[in-house]
Amino acid sequence: MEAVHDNRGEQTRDLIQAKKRQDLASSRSTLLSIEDLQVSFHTYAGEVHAVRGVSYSVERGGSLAVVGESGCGKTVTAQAVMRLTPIPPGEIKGGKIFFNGKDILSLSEREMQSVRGKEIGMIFQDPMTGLNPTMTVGNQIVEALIKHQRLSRRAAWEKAVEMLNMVEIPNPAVRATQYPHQFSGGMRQRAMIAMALACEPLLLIADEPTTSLDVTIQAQILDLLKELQEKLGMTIILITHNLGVVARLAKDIVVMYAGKVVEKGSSAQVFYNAMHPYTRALLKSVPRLDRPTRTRLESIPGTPPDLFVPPRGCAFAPRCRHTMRICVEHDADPIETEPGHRVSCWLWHKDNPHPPKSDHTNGGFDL
Amino acid sequence: MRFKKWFSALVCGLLLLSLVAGCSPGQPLPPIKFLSGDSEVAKKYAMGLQEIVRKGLGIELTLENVDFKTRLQKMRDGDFAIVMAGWAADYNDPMTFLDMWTTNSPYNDVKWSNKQYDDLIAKAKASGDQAERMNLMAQAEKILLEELPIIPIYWPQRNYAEHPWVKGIIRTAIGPGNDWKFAYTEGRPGGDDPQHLNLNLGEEPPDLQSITTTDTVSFDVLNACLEGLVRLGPDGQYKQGSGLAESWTVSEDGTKYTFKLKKGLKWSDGTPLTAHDFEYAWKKAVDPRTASQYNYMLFYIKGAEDVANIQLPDKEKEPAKYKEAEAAIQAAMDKMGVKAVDDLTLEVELVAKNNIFISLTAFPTYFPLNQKAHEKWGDKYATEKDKMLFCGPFVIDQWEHGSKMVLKKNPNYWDAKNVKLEYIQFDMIKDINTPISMYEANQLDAIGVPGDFIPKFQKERPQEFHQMAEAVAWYLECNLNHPVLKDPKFRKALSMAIDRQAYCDNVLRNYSKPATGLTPPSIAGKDATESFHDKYIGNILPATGNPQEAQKLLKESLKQLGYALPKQK
Amino acid sequence: MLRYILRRFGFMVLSLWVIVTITFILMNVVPGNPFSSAKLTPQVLKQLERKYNLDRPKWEQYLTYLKNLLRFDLGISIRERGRSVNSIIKSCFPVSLVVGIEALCFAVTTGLALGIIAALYRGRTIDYIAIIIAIIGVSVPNFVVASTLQYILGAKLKILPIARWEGPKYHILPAFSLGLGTLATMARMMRSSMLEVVNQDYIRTAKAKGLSPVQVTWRHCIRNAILPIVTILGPLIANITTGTLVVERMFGIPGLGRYFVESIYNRDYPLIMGTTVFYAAILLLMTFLVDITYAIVDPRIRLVKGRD
Repeated sequence: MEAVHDNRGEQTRDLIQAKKRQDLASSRSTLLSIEDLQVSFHTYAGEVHAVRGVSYSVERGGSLAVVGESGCGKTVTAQAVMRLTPIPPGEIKGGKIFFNGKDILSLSEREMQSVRGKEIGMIFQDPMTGLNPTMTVGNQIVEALIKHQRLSRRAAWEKAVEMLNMVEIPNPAVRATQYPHQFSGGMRQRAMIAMALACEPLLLIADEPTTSLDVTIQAQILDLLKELQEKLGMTIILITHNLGVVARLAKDIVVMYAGKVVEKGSSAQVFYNAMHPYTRALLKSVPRLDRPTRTRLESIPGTPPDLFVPPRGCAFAPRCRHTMRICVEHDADPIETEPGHRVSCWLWHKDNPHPPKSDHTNGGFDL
Repeated sequence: MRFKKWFSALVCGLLLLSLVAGCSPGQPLPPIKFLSGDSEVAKKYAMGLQEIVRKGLGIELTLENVDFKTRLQKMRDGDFAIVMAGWAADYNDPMTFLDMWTTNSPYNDVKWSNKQYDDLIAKAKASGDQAERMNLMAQAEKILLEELPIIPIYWPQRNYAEHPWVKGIIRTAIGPGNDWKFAYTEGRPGGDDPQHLNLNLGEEPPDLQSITTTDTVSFDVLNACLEGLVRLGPDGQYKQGSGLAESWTVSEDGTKYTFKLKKGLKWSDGTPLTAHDFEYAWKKAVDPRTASQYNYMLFYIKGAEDVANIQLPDKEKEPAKYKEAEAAIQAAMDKMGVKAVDDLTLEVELVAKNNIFISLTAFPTYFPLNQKAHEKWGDKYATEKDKMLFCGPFVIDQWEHGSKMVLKKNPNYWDAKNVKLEYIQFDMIKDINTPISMYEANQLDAIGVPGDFIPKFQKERPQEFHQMAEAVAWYLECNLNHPVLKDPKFRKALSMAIDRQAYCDNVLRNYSKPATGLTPPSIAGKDATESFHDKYIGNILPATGNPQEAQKLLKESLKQLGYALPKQK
Repeated sequence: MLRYILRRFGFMVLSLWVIVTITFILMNVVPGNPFSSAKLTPQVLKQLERKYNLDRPKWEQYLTYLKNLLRFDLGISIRERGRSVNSIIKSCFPVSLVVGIEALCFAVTTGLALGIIAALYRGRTIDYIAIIIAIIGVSVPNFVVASTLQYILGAKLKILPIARWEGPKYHILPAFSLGLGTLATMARMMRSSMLEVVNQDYIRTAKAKGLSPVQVTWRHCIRNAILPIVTILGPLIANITTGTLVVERMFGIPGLGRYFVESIYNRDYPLIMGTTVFYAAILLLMTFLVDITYAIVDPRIRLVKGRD
């Protein structure tokens, strides 16, 4: 069994290498490529294997949503891209990250500083705590501009006001002189976006940008992001656990569970033709307004596995309705069921004697 | 049958009761509060005494520790049972210790009144015969030591350390404690030139106006930069010509003195120093407007007390009356028995013949004052070095309040040729540890040694460590209104129970000597060759106590007073 | 802002008046008088009381004192005959001030630096060293530190003076002894404040902007970590001001500290009132300045309600 395991790993790696060479040849398509990333955290209780071999990529101009429940490793992956993982407890154990032709994991800290903010921007979940309370909003934008674009203070300030205007904050010139506590929640998130986009980065990573906001504001922020993406031709990675958010914004979706990617494809593919039992269960669990009031909410029984001792086989096996003996023993490699749509599940393996019928009735979402 | 049982039980019970009643010794002893200071050292001493009394008498004194001023106030108010008090001699005669216990003395906190004692003291004051005086005073002290309204405990010593290159410092038990006129150094590491001393005053001198000064630090400084009619030598002796007076004569009856000043005496600003300066100073010292605490030192002079007794009304509230009082003061001053006949001659008339008068004039309150300078600076006189004039071996050259004082040799001093020191530098460090370190680093030439450091100096620097007897007595004042202390037998029992030697050796541990009388041995008798205590008093109080006698007296006293004997542990 | 300042000033004056009154009452209630000594007789006591106007009724003395206070006349010391309280304060306070400021600067700069470094290098050797210094500084009283240093550096090694006040060399040990306790407190507080701040989200945001570690530490960490420190500055300054009492005594420094304590011991009424009023005024002023500083440094604090 060991030999087969190694072989499969090698196969995956070969595939990916090939794709990369193809990309390099075209030299413009893929902006970010994560290959078999492994990140662990060393705690007093032991080693937490937070990311156990994650691979996905984003095209230039694309908008990718990374979906999964809390603890699945989506934020850790994103932070690793920015090399913001706190290294004393954390450790990047393996894998590669390529961004804009650079090998992120081998850059020096100094070089990384000119990637962060300048080529990759990131906004975080909680805008209330994400802004420095003792600096004016304007100055917080200005400092990034001065650092990366070497603008004079005056020019930087003007640009900062412009950015605030672009994120649709009314009266931007006055607002720039104010402090974060004088902004409402939605406005703060806009300010964060302005800050992240000030230096016109190639990639924006938005980590749960609307989770701590009120629903009506959520829609506004997402629309803003979409608009900005179109206007600036920016690539977006959106990390969320909220499928409704995904629907508004993303063109592609990556579903993660317990530190691994379980399914990836375009939005349409994943929403209308979800293959992985986990994805299907997720979609089913979304509450719907068009069902009768007393309909029972669907949930996924069980809890995510303990990442101190990650399971040998598929991590979802204990909770899956379709578990087979092989699921417990081995983890499936990604299987392409239709062009661009890959799922890591034995159900879809060509050798499965009882393949499921793919049906398009998932109670589709409006896009 | 039953009745018989009943009856016998009753009788037995009554018998038992009467037995108990008969044995019952009376009410429990009322608390005896021992008032003492609140510093760590004072508390330690108080506990030491408490332990000694507990051992000797079986009585537990209750301790009350208060700060200095509160203690004095309580003493004056009579709000205490026992308090440890001390008295330093003002002059070299037993009278300084004895006349404060007369009935009318303002210092008689215990309010003891013994007619025999008062008579003896009055006679001694009036007598001109030294031998007679000594006998009268000895009788008086013996009465005191029998009645024991105060219980003398110990006579302290002065412990000091001096580097071997320091020579010529004169230390006296009475009056200014230190005299540096004749001091010099020989063999100082680093060389003796220029001749100087580094000393520690211990604190900022609070008052350098000679007629109002009361503290020892100021006394020492004044003794260095001013001078009186005489300057005392070691043992408190004096010679004609040792001070500003060249010579003097005394009348037959011993009440009139005529002093002749040296020729050419000058103040530090060059103005001549005359007999008028003495007259002015002495009159000012008793002036009620000056309010000098030492004015009583001049009451030996005829008419001086009258000046001091004039009541002064509030100047702002009763200006007319005030003017009257001022006139009265002037009139009384004119009648006072001190007169500058001419620039060099001072005539003094005393109330009565007094053998110690000459030595009294070495006391700073008797130092001369330049009238013009004094009136010019008024209340600010002597608050800065250039608001005062000097006539002694040194002048104050630098005075940084709270920090440093430097005395420099006075070129205008009549005896400048015999002053070897060029300057003396004083620190004002109050902390007791710091001067020890400085002494060891040779930054200070001589220091007082506090009790805790005595063993260290005994061990490490035995050659440099010295003691000298002070003219001070420490005693327990007993409140004669206290229900138990009012009985002389009880006080005697208390006195006998205290092992003074043990107290000195184990509690004080600073070379203090047990007091076997009141007047310390350093006080002279009829002349300097004899000690009053040694010759006339002897060891009346037991140095080590007398526990059996103490117990016996205690029992008798308490039985008489109707109190229970304390439980014997 | 101006209204706030005026209002605060009003309160300060009121507080001062209350302090003056309470001190006056306490001073007169405590037994003893300025003149009591073993040799004092009732007659001379009367003369002395007359001379210093202490025989007038208490309420009259109180009002006279207040009247003079308004003209900044603090009276004349009784024990140090003839010296005005104003001149004593004028000559002694600058010395205490110098020692205090030196100690404060030393404590604040070194303490903050130590705290920051300890937080940034948490768990490493420097962190442990900082904690040990902090514990020593807080537990060992300043007079023990002073005495030990005097002995080792002054008497044995002879590299620094034991006492006296004559030049820059003489400032070192007193400032150090005085400041050590405060340094320890600062280090401890800054360390925990920094540790809290370093884990805040906005630090992560700052890093994500690509700022260098130095920029992140200075502009984002320290600026926020220092806020709680400013709040304790008030009591800290008070601590140092009163700490001078002991240090001045040990090093023979002619500061104001000893008068503060000794005047009570000597029952020197004008000096008691003068030093108390003076110290109270200083502390009130310091607290006021600290509050203003806090409002300036932390934009979330607004001194006047409602205006934003």
